[in-house]
Amino acid sequence: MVPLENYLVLSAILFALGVYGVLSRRNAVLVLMSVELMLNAVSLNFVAFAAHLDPDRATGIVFAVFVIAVAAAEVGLALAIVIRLFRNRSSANVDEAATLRW
Amino acid sequence: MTFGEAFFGMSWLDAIIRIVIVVLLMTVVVVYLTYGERKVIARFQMRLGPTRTGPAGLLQGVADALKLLCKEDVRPRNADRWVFEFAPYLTFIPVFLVLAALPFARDWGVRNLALGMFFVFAVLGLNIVGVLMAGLGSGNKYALLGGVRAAAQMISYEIPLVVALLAVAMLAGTLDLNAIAAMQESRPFVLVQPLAFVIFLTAVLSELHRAPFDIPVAESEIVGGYFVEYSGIRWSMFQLAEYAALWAFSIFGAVVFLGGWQFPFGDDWGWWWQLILTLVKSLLLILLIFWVRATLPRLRMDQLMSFCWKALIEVSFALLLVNGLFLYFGWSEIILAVVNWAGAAAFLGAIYLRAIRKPAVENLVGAYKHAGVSPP
Amino acid sequence: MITEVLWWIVAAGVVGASAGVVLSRSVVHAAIFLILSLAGVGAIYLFLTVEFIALVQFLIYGGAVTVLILLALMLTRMGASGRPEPLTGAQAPFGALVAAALMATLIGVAVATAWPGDLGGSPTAISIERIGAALFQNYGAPFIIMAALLLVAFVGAIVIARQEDGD
Repeated sequence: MVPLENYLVLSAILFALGVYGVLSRRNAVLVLMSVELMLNAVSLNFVAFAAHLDPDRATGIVFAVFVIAVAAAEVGLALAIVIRLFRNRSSANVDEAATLRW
Repeated sequence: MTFGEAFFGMSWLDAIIRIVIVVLLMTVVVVYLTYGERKVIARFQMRLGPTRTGPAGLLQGVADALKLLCKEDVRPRNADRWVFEFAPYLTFIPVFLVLAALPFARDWGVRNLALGMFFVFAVLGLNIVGVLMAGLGSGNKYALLGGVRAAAQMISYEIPLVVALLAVAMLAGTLDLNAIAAMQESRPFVLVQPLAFVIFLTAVLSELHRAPFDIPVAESEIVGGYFVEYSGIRWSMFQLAEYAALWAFSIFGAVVFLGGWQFPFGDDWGWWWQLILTLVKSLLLILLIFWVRATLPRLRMDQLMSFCWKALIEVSFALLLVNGLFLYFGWSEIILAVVNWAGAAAFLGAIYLRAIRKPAVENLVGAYKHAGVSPP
Repeated sequence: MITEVLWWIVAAGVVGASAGVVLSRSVVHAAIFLILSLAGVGAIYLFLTVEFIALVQFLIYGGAVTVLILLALMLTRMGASGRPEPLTGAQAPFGALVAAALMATLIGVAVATAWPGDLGGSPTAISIERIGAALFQNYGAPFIIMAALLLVAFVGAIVIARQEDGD
């Protein structure tokens, strides 16, 4: 049978890949995809803990549902912002949206 | 049976035999659905349809399949190679997974899942991915437009579809398709929830890209939509997926709304009667869909979206609320059925009145004035 | 036995697809890898015997989220006249360093900690009834707040993305 540690390590790898994506990508949509990877790693962690440590209360499952709902809301909003950005600058490059830095 | 058992705890040989039976049945049904659609549409248009290949044209589907297999498989040079080549197969996988969860007779399907209904619409959501890949990978503006249209349409219409089905699942108290069918021994759910059935049918027409919601594949506007660049075997995979989805949705609708294998006499007359019941009911639904195609003109994109977001979603949420109230207060099912019939009549009546109203033809300019019609 | 083999295959697929998301040189390919990765995580949920979450994953991520992303890709794609933009910035090596350090830490913690109350190899199946009870009874208020959040996000997305006359 598959022990809990396997899930945790898998989730850690996914999270690290997501962090790398967020730090290195320049296209806003790609940054968003990497954020999705990280959120997925987190909810995988929650579900693994819920199934292995505390199946009676199902708290981790509820948390995973909330994470998925928040991710859906976040994707909707973020993509609206990306489309807005693209309309103003005809580029989805996050490095170019730096007006606030001045 | 839970999901984990279905995947890991089963005897593989049994599953493989069942899958082979379902796939063979599906192939025959799909070949004759293409023939049947041409025949039915032809009759609606006072034509004969295919008559030459075999007796009454019965071998037309086989001839078409042979022709498609022999055609050259063209790939545009600026297409994204892997995306382009895998897209047709990806549209087919979800349909196949759905077929694996449907009950054809009492306790007979490939797998009977405890969350069967949820499984069906979760997996059907993945159908869009293949369509979008075809649109993005073809390297063609029309294909891209078709993909965008299909994506916008399918995610919008998935909401009323799911909510209408949830309303029925609330009454049934389960998501197990077999249990839902078994529950309809005395009355099919369409008699109790006609409004849910109307919403379901409308959303299914849209999910399947059938007329009047066929704008992603509109030949006269974007020359075939997302599969414009496909030919030969890959194109036939798209067709196969489309007709298989039509059949799968019809069986799903027959099980949830028309009583599936149970109504009438399902338990008394044995499995062959149950199988015939399921197939005949699904064919009735398919005939209805063909009929709609022969009758209604295609909608415009903005009409399509506003119909979904401004009419269907509100009505389906109202339906969910009404069902919740009835269940909470424990009112009788007859009152619920009457309320629902009234709702369905009002909904269809409102659509009809909206469709036949006279457009305003005053203060028109230009070509609109000349033609005497109002601008869109 | 067969479960473990399947688990390793699926896990390798998930890791490979996720690497594809962050490394691929085409935005479309990255999106398709993302779909594969999310579907793979859904399959991992099946190994944890929580089919409800697996189906939610397929429905929300596989269906809605990736479609939204692909739709945004279609809307923000540069045409033939647009200049090709590098998808990865010059800071990538530092990002890789940070990610590697983070991964090492997380894996170290995950392996070294003795988790209290660990049931061992086989997870207990969590039925949908129990999830429903937890969601609507113990966590009823957060659930309603979540609904409000979704509504607000929905309205906000429409307001932000709406095309005004001046645009």
